[in-house]
Amino acid sequence: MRFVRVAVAGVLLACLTSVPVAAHAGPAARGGDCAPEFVIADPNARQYEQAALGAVYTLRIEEEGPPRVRARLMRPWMPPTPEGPIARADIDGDGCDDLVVGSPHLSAGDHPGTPDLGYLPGEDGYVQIIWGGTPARGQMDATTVLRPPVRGRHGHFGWSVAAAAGVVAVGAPHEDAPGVPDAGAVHLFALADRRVRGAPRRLAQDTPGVPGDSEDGDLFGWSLAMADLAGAAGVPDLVVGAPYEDDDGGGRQPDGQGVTHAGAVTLLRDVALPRTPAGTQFRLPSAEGLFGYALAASRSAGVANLAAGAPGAGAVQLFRGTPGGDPSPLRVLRGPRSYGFSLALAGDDLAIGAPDEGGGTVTVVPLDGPAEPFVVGGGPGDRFGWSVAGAGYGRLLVGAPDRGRTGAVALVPIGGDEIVWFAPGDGTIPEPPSVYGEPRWPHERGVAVDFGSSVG
Amino acid sequence: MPTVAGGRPPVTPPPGRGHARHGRWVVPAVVTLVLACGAGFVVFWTGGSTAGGSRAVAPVLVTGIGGRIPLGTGFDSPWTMVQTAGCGYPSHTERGVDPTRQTCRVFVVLGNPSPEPVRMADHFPDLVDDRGGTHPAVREPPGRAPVVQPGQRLTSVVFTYEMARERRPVRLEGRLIQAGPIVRVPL
Repeated sequence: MRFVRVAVAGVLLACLTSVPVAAHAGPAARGGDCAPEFVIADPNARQYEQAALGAVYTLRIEEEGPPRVRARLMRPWMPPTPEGPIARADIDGDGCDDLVVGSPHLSAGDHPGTPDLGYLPGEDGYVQIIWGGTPARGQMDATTVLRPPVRGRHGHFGWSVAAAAGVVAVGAPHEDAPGVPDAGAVHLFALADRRVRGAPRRLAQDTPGVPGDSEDGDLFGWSLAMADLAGAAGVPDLVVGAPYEDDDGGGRQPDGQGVTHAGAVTLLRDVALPRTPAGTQFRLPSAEGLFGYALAASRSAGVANLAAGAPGAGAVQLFRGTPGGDPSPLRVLRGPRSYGFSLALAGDDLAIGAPDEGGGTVTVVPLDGPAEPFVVGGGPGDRFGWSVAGAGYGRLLVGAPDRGRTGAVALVPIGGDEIVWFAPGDGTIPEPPSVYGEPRWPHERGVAVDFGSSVG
Repeated sequence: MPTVAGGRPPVTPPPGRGHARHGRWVVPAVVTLVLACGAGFVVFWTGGSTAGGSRAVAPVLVTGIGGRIPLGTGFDSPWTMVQTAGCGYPSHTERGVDPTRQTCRVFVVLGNPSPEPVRMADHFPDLVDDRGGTHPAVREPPGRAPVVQPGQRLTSVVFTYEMARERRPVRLEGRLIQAGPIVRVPL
């Protein structure tokens, strides 16, 4: 009965809130008349009476001039990813970007195709692909659910996600290897016609072809990125972060040996091809440096770029693709503590979040040339830069989940100073829904608390 | 309508709806308990109030509702945040609802992104009222505080307190995890 009430209210809300988006569906910043445009998550929002159910918002931002935002609370009962980026790629090849949203702290039910009413708080996790498409085709809410292949592993499947044409990678960093807790793993799903094809492949550091050893607490799969960086042209490569890996030499070692929590980044070439993976491991030795905490990868104008954050060391390693070979280290960028907590490659720029530096900062570094970095910061306690994503037309979306009571997101013009803030209840972003009817108790009210934790 | 923390004083519930109201609470209470147990956690109930001010221990982290409170020194430390807080809930006793008292409930989210497990504090934060009275949360059932595993997020942590009906809560103060900082959350 409770779920029925939630479902009915949710459907009503979804219908009501979708009208303005459809009515104003003009040219989008990317992908023609595709929707949704951007996604912002509040993983700890309360909707109805559901504690920390989370909330996902979609935004459409006009191309140029003063930003006009069309915001919508999307599928109110769909929980988002708590930390880390949302993956964006044209997975189904229809010309519209699709979004991959992980929910590592909920477990899907047993009813395939009905994910929205069939989950409970849990540690298995699941992932939803939100298919982009034109509103006229009625595809705005179409989703495909990815579940962990084995239930009960409590690996936090969906902690990280990455996607490319026909393939989605899902990190489960707390998944155990046999006798090795929290070694971590990545699950690779092949998709065609918006359906999963075949069983997912499990990749871990004890998989043949994958460098390294599955060790206690490595948390392999903490972060992911995917792009055509090396190997066969046009075939995506997968980059996997294991920030809590110790730099302790070859062979399986107990946790806490060598350079502790130095971290590692593994490049797996051509993962979409059905063959034994071939990989290379990169390191940036620094105790507690957490190399691989955040990743960003792209191929733009034929140039492959990869960035890996080591926020414990306040550093970001930038790699550049090489003809016929693996990406090679290009330069190390240094900043304050937590520098590299979040990353985004936006056109010719790399955006680097450092949310624990004062009120938080985002540094925008040109990938080429000697141009001075552009630095923008938030207010005291905002945790500005917790998440960051390119917003097109020389702009960034920056999450500040501790700004005010609800959290906020800033639309930042790179090099400019006219920052526009958005937050639930500001007239642009709707607040999470309360119980159907008049709420009688505080816990029956919808509450936004962490808006901007994830943007994509 | 119950009082939102820091808001107007509570209003006596409308008469004649006691049974319905009690029934209304059964399902949420059971769901909360089930979810809490499923998350490896417990619901806290109070055993009355204690006069006097809050414990003075430094340092104290001060963060408002919705703010992320780090429970360690690193950016990957365990964290907590108060999601909602409010009073005016009925105060149930063995003899029914006590009209002179109210129950306060504080809903908390706690995450542990660190690679190490952390143990919850044995004594959870106190609720301080507008006259400086300190109201402790008492855990049931008794036992060792639960452990939050790496990567785990607890979403059904509910602190429950009781106080006189005319009092208003002004802040939550205490430890969330063992050896963690003392946090102060103005309500």
